[in-house]
Amino acid sequence: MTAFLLRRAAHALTVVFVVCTVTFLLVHLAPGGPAVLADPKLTQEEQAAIEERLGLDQPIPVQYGIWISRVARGELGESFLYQVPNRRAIAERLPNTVLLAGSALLLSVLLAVPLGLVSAIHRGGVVDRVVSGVVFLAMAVPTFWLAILAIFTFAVAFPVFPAGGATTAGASGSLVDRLSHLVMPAVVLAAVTTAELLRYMRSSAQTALAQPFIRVARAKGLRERTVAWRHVLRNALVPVVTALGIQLPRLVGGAAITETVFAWPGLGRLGIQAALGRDYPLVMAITLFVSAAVVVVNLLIDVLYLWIDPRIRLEA
Amino acid sequence: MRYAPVNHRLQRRAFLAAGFVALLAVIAVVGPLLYSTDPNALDLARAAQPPGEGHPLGTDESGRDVLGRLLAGGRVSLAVGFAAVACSGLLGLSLGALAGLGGRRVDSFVMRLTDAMMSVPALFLIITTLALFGTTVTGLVVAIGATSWMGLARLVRAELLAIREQDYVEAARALGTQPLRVLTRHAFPHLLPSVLVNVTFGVGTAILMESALSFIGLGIQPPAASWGNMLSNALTYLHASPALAIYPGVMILMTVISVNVLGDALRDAAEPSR
Amino acid sequence: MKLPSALHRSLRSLSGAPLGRWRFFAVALLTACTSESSSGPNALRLPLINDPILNPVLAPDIGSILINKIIFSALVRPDENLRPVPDLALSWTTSEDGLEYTFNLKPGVKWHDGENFTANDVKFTFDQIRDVKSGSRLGSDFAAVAGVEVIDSLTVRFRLKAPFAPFLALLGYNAGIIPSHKFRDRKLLDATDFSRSTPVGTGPFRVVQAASGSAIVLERNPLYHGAAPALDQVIFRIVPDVNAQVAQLLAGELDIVPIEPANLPSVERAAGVDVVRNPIVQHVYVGFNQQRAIFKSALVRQALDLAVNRKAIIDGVLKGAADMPRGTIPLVLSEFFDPSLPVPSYNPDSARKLLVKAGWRTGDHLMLLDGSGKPFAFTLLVDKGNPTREQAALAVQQDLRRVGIDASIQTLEFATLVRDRVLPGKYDAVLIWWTTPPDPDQFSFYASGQDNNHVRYVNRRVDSLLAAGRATLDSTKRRDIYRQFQREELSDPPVLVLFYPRELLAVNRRLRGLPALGLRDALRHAERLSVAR
Repeated sequence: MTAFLLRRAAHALTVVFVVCTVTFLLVHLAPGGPAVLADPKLTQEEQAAIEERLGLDQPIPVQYGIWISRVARGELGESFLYQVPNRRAIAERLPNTVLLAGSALLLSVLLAVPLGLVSAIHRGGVVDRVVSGVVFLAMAVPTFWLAILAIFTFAVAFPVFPAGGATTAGASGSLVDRLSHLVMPAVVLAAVTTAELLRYMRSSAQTALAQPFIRVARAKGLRERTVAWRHVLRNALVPVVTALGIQLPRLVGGAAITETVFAWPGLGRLGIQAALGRDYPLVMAITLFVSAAVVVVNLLIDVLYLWIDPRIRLEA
Repeated sequence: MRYAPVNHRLQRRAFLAAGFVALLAVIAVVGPLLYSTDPNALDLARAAQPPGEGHPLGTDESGRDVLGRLLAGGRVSLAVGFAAVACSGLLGLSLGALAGLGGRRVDSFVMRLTDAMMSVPALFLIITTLALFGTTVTGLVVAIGATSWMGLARLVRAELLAIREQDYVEAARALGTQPLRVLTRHAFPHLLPSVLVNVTFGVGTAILMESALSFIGLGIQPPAASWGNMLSNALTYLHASPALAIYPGVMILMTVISVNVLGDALRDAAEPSR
Repeated sequence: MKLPSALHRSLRSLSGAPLGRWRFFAVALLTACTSESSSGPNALRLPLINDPILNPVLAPDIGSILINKIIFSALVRPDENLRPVPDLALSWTTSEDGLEYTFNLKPGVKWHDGENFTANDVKFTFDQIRDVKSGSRLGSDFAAVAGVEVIDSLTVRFRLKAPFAPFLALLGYNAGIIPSHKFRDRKLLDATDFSRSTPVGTGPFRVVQAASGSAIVLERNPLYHGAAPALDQVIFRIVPDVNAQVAQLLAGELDIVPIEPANLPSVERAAGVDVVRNPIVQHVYVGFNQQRAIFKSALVRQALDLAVNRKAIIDGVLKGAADMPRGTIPLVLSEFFDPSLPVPSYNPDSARKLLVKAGWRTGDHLMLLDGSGKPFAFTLLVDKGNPTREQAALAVQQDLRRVGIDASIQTLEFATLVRDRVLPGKYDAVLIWWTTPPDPDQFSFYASGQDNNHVRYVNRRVDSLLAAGRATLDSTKRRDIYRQFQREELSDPPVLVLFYPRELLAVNRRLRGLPALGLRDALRHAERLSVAR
């Protein structure tokens, strides 16, 4: 067990190192340079001073060395655009993204697991047909379109929810206020994840239903509902948990779009703006952070497997 | 092998979907022959016109012909979708094969690269690449392809590792067959269905990715049309001319649904037990 | 059993019953969220696309510049005719030779934290501005300043290297004064708390809350040195997407939104929203790299000037939100702009004749060829992501094709466009713009050999006129000089000016007191803004 975990941790470190290097190369090989330098009015002297201050006057290998040694010490550098340590920039936005992505994920699981199970049991039934139609639709809608339509419908035409932001600025920010701001972005973000999870759930529940022990359970005279909830669910959940791990980066990616449209102060949006503003250190810091978070979550999922199903081979 | 009873409903759906995709492909190829209005010609004096003579679907905010742009945009969106999938398919197959057939070190390296790529949101990587290097059609296709090969690579590798253990491959190897031959002779036929399924779903994902990138301003660049950039431009006029958002939106929806339905049907055919 | 009846009600309202009930239902359900506009503090809400840097010396982007104008007063500010009037300076005198400006500061001015504002703060601010190592973004604006001297606590003297007429306009432009007492033991760049959340200025509003990515909340400064601000709060909400900004405006969550002409159809139909079109000090132009042989001849540039249908671009692309240009000095600088100049005509035939005169001949498909049979072809760069400029570039391309010139368009990210192509001179033509302080000085743009003369325009007469223009303080003489400059531009156009844009602001009808200036300058008068109940 310990050896397994150690090996997985070593893998995780390698992965993060690869991400570190790839993003560094990506960012520093790009033409144009950071946006802070793209002011046609800057004089040569000012340009030089800025480059020196940001460390851009160093040769690329030296910059790489500095970046890697910083990361090794747990430092993420300083943002060009925001002029604050990247750690702070990320820390300020992280809770909002965790709240948004977490709510969306929770919503997805709550919808996808029971609906997927019912669809699998009553294959071809009304629920299955309706659900599968909605799933196809949800998987084909561009997120930004859904988001804008939601705003124009539920904030402009019928002002039920606020059009954007995480709280009402300048007001106290009560719980109701926060929740009402959360509803639309969370639902929009959950749409795709729910659809994907539902597909996994349905197919893995079907696989579970076809297994011999289910037939045995039925033959023993267990009630259909007991069979479904106790036996099928437990066995169907393993692949779903894997799917969750795979969905996580996509969720963060999707959150970037959702956060942009709903003016939600999250990490994904910060990443997009950092890339568009050519804020090299921040782009690298966010990519690294997200990837490290995903790797850690996947490590946790591996541990979770051991707990769900001890038969899983440790040497995998 | 056990075959599930033929599911007629699914089959009908798959036929419809295949028909729609085929129709799109045909239109993409012969469309410009039948309808030759220049999709990029500005006519500022006749902007945002409703459907009428000369413009069967009206004009957009710059007086460009909407039908012409829809056809041209469809060609671009489909091309981007298929090209990106070809790119990711090639990467996934070759890297998966490399991992499955190469030695332990190669395998370990490829798998760490795969994990690394899977740990970063694809959208992030693509946005960073395109924001920094600038958007070109090739760049877009390569960026989408280069961030979506991981699933296929893992699949191919796993399949190869499994096949390697099987008797007939052992036998082939014992007879001195080269690894590459093992791959083409024995593994490919086995892999084809899963690759096909993977690739089919990839087309839809790529089309959606292009539209998301257009929203951020990094998709297909004007004046060229794509469904994605038509849709994202139309958001500006949502209040005044909602039709501009409906045409490309519906095209994206129907296309992606169709390829996904097709992918589902392929999967059912390939893995009948499900 | 409550749910069905609520549902029923909502369905009824959807199918044509008055919306009031639905609204009532919604408000009852979520009391806190939609009542923002009807109760609570008297607030003005504006969008920013990103977190601002709350320090006028360091501010790198337009969003930061806007909010800093409210937080930090400057020595002077522009009035509605864009002439500098007193702000932190009560009055000033200029020496005979134009090299010394002495400012008498307003007595009793307090910083937001209660400290006294003095001449030391002014000196500190300009010492920082002129220090390239400080991270200052205003260095080039004040390159003419030789030194700043504190005479007494309320008198400060600027010494200039040479007479510099735009000096006062620049003082009122971006140069907000920052407090020296906040930077005693640290550099500007190290004071992250100051520039992110707790800035201290002398402006009509002070920052009370700054949430990254969400909003900056400003409240009335009770110690303000001018007329008492009418608003309780000014809130800058961070909304990156412009369509989302418009949606928030329509939902009543924003009060002023700068929009693109493309947004006009959506906004003009909305109830409770007005569109304001104020002229700004900007000229949008196509710059031709005059190091390229094809653009060297003034004849060719005159021909290009005639070949483009500006009227069609202004009406079609900008939906009328721009003025016909006459040279590089925009209309809004009414003191210097010469209204008697001819409006540029659109005449492809004359353009072709001029081009033939310049040595081009007609080849296949009526495209122009030079002596050796090479076509008149070049690449026109335009920054990516702005539909207005992209469409204007397309229109220019179509117009040029009509006279036989083959321009291909390349869109580039603004950073790449400027850094890799325009500044090093690696381009043929570019569609770009200058936003300037309210002053006609264009020496650095169009005098030969200057840093910002990226079109490499060389005209000795223009050189001496522009040099004289910035050194002449007498306003009548100065006007004559710039009128001569504009006439010179007619025969030897430095750039192809496409239009003088007007700034489009979608404004909530409740807003009162917005000066008829661009938002940049209007916000220098934030204390006058109010919101009707």
